[in-house]
Amino acid sequence: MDRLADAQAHRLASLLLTKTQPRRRSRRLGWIVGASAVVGLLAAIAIYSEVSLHVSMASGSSSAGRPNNQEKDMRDFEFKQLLSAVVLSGAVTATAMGEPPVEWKVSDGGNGHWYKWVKQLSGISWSSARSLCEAQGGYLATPTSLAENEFVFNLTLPTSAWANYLGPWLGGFQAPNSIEPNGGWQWVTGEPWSWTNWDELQPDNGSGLEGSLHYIHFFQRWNDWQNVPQNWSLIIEWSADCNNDNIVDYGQILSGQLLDTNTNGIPDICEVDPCPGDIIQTNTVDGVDLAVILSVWGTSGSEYPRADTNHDGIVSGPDLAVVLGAWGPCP
Amino acid sequence: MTAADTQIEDFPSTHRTWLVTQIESVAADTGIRSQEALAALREHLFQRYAEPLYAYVRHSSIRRLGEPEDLVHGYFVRMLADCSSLRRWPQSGRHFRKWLLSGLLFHVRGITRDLGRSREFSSLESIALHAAAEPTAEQAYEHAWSRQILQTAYATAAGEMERAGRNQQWMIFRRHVLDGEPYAPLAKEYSVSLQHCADATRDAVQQVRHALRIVLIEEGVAERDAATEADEIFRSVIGGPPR
Repeated sequence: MDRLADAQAHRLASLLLTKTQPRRRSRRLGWIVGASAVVGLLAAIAIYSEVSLHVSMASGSSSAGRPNNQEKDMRDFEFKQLLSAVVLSGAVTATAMGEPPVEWKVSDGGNGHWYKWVKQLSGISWSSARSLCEAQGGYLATPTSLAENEFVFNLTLPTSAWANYLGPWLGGFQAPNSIEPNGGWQWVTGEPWSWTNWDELQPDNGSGLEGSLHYIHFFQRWNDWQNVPQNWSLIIEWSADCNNDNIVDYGQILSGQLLDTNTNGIPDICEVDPCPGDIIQTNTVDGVDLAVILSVWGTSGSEYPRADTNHDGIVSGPDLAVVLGAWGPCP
Repeated sequence: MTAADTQIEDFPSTHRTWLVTQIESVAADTGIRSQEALAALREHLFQRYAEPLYAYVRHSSIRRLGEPEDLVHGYFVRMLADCSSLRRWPQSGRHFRKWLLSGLLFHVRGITRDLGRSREFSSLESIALHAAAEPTAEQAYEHAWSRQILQTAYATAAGEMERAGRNQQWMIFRRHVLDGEPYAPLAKEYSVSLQHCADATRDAVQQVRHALRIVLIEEGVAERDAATEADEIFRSVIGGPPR
């Protein structure tokens, strides 16, 4: 008998122990994901019936007879493959994926940061995921503590957050030319790389090209992986507080407290506007912008928030002066 | 196939059912059936519980009474020679492994009493009396039992994978997880993709987990407690034997 040595038993037990952490269900599972899963399940069952019949006929056994173990195993295996393929493909074709952003509230012991799970239908590399986050004023999530890691992981619970066993990208990466496999790991934010939660035997630089961090195997552990678009999703984190009011800007943008007219995740008041008179953003300050100013005169700007160029809450003379002063092409 | 395997297939419901059936068959003394049951029971006891009991004795003060193997074998022989004590186990309401350890201590206490009468080992009874409260020995017992259970689940899973013609997946799992080999050379050697290696490992892990669950339920662990019990086993194995 193949007897486990002590070290092997230790490794196996470690692997199994970490894999048996109870997985908490998200109450915020999107109905679209649920619907696609149900449709996929029904389709898989229908296909399973076909496969069962096919296997039964091919093996010459009676359809009323009890299949032998090998047949059963084959059917179970094929069923699992089909189920996985159909359910996951259903998730891919859904049009609206991801979850609304959530705040890890200070009152809940959190840090006041905002997080959002984002699904990319065609897969996304770690580098692209990082750029996507930055374009929205955030960054790839950096779970730097056990509590934060648990909070962030819970955003990944919808089935479609996972590409098979590959979970969403996180904000850890390995600097080029570091000592493999443990050297040079860092967060995109520059936070200290201290608390870690690697999966058993990770990081291993298994393919020789693994320097990007993500969740793996449907639990809270991390793995190093290649910077290729095999993962389907990512977690964005927002923590910026550009107006120093001790409230993360992103939440204030969501609540309407701060304007973010170009939807880049950075409040307008914190952006250096290169062309403040360009109300409708055509890269030219001209008669159309002047007409807009006059049409919303005396209001807060209504549907043209950029008309309130000085952010004093009313479109008035100073805003008109800005438009006239910037007349012509934007710099 | 061993005699024990045959008996398990005859009584597949639980380990408890199987044990009780063997014990009753032995006690009934109905000829061949009784001998087969006795052989199956003996093999099962030795296979699963002898090593944990050796470990207990090695870490206990009763070690002074003799070699662990001698004490445990003597215990088994006495127990199997007269199944009356075994027949009382189902009424105890305890897990079999816990009950078995108590039985060993009871057995040892009997030895010390016998020796005490000769005035040669008058203090040994107290050794046995205190043995039950030795945490290091208990820990050694639990660790060795956990190792046995994990080994059983591992061997069962290996057999299942082999029967299903998935030897390659098992070997990838074995070499990656147990021997620490990276996926890349394994993928090259088996002419498969890295993704295939990862999937193979995941499937094999699921197989081991499933087998462990079955073993635990056979051991009399309630289905709802199987996951918790499994975690205890893993922690015990990870913690290693007491030093």
